[in-house]
Amino acid sequence: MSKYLIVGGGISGCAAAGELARLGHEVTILEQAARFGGKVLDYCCKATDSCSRCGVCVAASQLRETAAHKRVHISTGSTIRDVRWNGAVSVRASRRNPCIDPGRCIACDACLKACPAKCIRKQQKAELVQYVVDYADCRLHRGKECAACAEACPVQAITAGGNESALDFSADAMLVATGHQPYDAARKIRLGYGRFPGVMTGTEAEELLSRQESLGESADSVAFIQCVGSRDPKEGRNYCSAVCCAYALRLARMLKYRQPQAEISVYYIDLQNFDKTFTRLREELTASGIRFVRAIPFRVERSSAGKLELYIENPDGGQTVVEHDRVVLSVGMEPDPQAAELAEKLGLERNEFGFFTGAAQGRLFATGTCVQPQSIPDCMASARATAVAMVACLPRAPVRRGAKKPPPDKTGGVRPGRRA
Amino acid sequence: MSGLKADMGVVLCTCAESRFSRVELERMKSRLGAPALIEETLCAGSRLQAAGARLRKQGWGKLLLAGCPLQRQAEPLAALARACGLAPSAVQGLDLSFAARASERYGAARASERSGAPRASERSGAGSAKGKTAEAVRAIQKGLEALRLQPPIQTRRVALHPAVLVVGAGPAGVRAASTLSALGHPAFLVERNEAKGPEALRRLLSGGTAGPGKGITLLAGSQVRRLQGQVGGFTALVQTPQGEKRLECGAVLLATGLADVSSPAAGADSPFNGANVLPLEELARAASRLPRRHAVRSLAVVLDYRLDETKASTEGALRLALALQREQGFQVHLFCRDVRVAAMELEKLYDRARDAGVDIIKYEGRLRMRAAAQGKGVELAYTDSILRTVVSLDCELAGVSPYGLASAAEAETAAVFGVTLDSLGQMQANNIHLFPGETNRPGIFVAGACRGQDYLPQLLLEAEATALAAHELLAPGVLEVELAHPVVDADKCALCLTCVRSCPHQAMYVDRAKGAAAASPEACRRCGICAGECPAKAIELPAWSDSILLSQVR
Repeated sequence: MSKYLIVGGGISGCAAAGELARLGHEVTILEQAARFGGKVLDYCCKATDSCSRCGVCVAASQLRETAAHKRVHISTGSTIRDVRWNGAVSVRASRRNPCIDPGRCIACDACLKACPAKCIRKQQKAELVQYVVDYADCRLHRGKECAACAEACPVQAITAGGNESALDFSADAMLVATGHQPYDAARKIRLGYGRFPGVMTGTEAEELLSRQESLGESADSVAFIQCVGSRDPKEGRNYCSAVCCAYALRLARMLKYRQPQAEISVYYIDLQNFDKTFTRLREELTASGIRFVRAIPFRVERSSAGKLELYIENPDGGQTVVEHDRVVLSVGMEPDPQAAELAEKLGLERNEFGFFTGAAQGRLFATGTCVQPQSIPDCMASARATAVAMVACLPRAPVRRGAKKPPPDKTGGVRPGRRA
Repeated sequence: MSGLKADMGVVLCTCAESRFSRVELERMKSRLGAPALIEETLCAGSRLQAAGARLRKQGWGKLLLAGCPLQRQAEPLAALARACGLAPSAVQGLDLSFAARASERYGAARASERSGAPRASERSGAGSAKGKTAEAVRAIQKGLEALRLQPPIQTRRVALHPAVLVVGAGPAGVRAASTLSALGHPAFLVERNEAKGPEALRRLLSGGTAGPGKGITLLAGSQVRRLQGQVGGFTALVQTPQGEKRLECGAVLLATGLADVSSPAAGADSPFNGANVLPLEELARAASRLPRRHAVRSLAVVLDYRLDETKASTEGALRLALALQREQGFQVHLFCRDVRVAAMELEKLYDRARDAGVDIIKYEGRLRMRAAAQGKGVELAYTDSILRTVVSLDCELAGVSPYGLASAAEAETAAVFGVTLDSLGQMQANNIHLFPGETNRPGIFVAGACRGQDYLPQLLLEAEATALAAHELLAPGVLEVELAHPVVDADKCALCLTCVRSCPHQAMYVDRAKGAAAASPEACRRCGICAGECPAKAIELPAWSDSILLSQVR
């Protein structure tokens, strides 16, 4: 049995942790945010009457399974301070309190009710329930003594002694899965993001559509603009973000299903093949009346009637202006801004765009969207493959037949005395 | 295994998610008319052992656990069953919050129905609280009735054979086999092509991350003819050059790759004419044989001819076009509907090809090829996606990417293994819950280009992940199977095979001794499709027998 440390508790980190734990190893996940699960928690199910295979539901159950595993320990609100390699890796981290152990939490709402500052929020994604502490409002972080949540917790899942605690870990190998950040659409000033209320990013559209039926009132005509901040050598971002075609077309399909009268146009350079039966999907979308236009508008303005005007350059040099009610900018992925700092701390190599190179360096691995933009199922598959490589990198052979195996998981990996 | 004791009881469990307080549960307990115990937050697990001891004292043979939504799931129920020494099937779960929600939604309407007066709405607050417990009591009584009717369900331990049969010694198959052998599983690697001998295998294996392939047995020039058995105990009949061989294995991993399209099986629809329209891989060789008499010799590389192609074929075509353009002085026209560049290095490759002068033409709809009007060559007619007009272009040779021109071989292989295909005929149904490597049949996995993903770096990662899934299935050595599979009434069964055909998991077979259809419990997923489809109404699931279902709808 070995010990592994994973930096980043998003879907990649959790998928790798789940695999390692199932193979009988101890895993600690350090997550910087107050909640684990990463960006996938903000995405919505994009099914109509049939599944569109976006993978959000699969990710949610993977997260829950990982959090409930007895050999996985998730530490939220934690930042790495210092890393030392001496064959194995020893890490010093600091954790912000109050910290809720998701493996123990029973979702009883006791902390929520006990908090005097009302700084604990409950978040639910499919079967995954977690409580998120807003550090800015927390009394502990305002220099006061408070342990109301920890005292109220019936299962002692909350630590609230002091606003920060230092953690020391040692592990045999380490995995970096720090994820990405979406491209800041405001950098494309001419596309009107942040200036016109009808212009939104794909992630914002997803969030809206997970709460309501449409993209707001009188949103009968929606334009999706692809490749915003991707495939753009002028921005120094000469790579395809791989997921934007997928989410844009899935959102378009969902919108068209919910409002068959809506006019939906997709402005694109090249449509990427993201689904197993992509040709069929494309035929279905075209038949449903979604318009595909091979052109990227270079400017978005607001007309006097309040509509959004998209300016498109014609092959002959002229301009076409089309009107839409809403514009969804399909923003791509870029490396996390803290990637540079982390790379320096750990000695990780980065490529010209700032993504980590996927190659393992001794016992240090990287996986997920911090290596290259990829979809949820791809992240999960590559995280599992990385877990295999992590086990293989250690001198002792992995679980072999005939050798002493850890006792079979009678609990199905659920820690005794804790929530399943 | 107990379950013979007829008496049963209810465990009422309170937590925030169940939406019932202890007081409300006390009220319900008195109204139930069945023995009941009240517990707190069993879902947390920490009180499970103590509760188990209390429940053992009650001596109940069957248990209904009513609590939060979590209490309906298999894991907590099995944990409780263990804690109180009952069979897993003797413990059933019930979601109390559902009753609470139902009463919120319909409670007011029901109250007004009963009193028949509009003033019911004035009392709706008190009415719904009452309605909530009444709704829950009703649900519990129904659950108890179902539990009473449920026969005891036994479990069986199935030994899992540690070996894995890997079909196809391409990159995905070899990577999966070497990963499996590193995880301690003997692997049989069956390859149809005889030329891929041990030498080639050694070369391929040296590139793997998981170490040398010690436990791998290569069977080159062989083909799986039949597969019998279910997960944990498959028997494959393999046709080898030395004769027929029987292989025992616990799991199967299919990595049969892309179908061989240069075979005549590609069909009459094939664009290839053997002269100047060729499969892409033959283009370079044919181009080198062209007479050097023209000033500029042009070649066409055609992608997306029938289906939208993937990153892999785009990468291959771009590399080929780049080499022909730069090194051999051809003018290469690359025809595609979209350039697929969704991987880190591909955008750069695309730029390099454009910089080298490869003419990239994006067309819409179908591209047509016919003999050129003047001289030799081929005329390509297409609708240009930017000019929006029909354009035609003469080239000396055209290489068409064979992707999507699959032969019938794929379907044949799938039929041997009982694996469902997606709507494009690729191995593995298009179901997110199966990704990356599972299929409709437990114990049969799929990896590589045959499932539709053929970009090499990604494909290798998926092969490793799939090998890991096979390892996790087989590693415990035994599989505990609940014998809750459908039971076929041999007197009613007319052997029409409807159930065998309709079972999505290939769990139904014909039991020759009984002369009737039967289900294999290892493969069965208790979906009940067979029971619904059977025209003779001969099939019943023990956990959902007709009497149980009737007790629930009454």
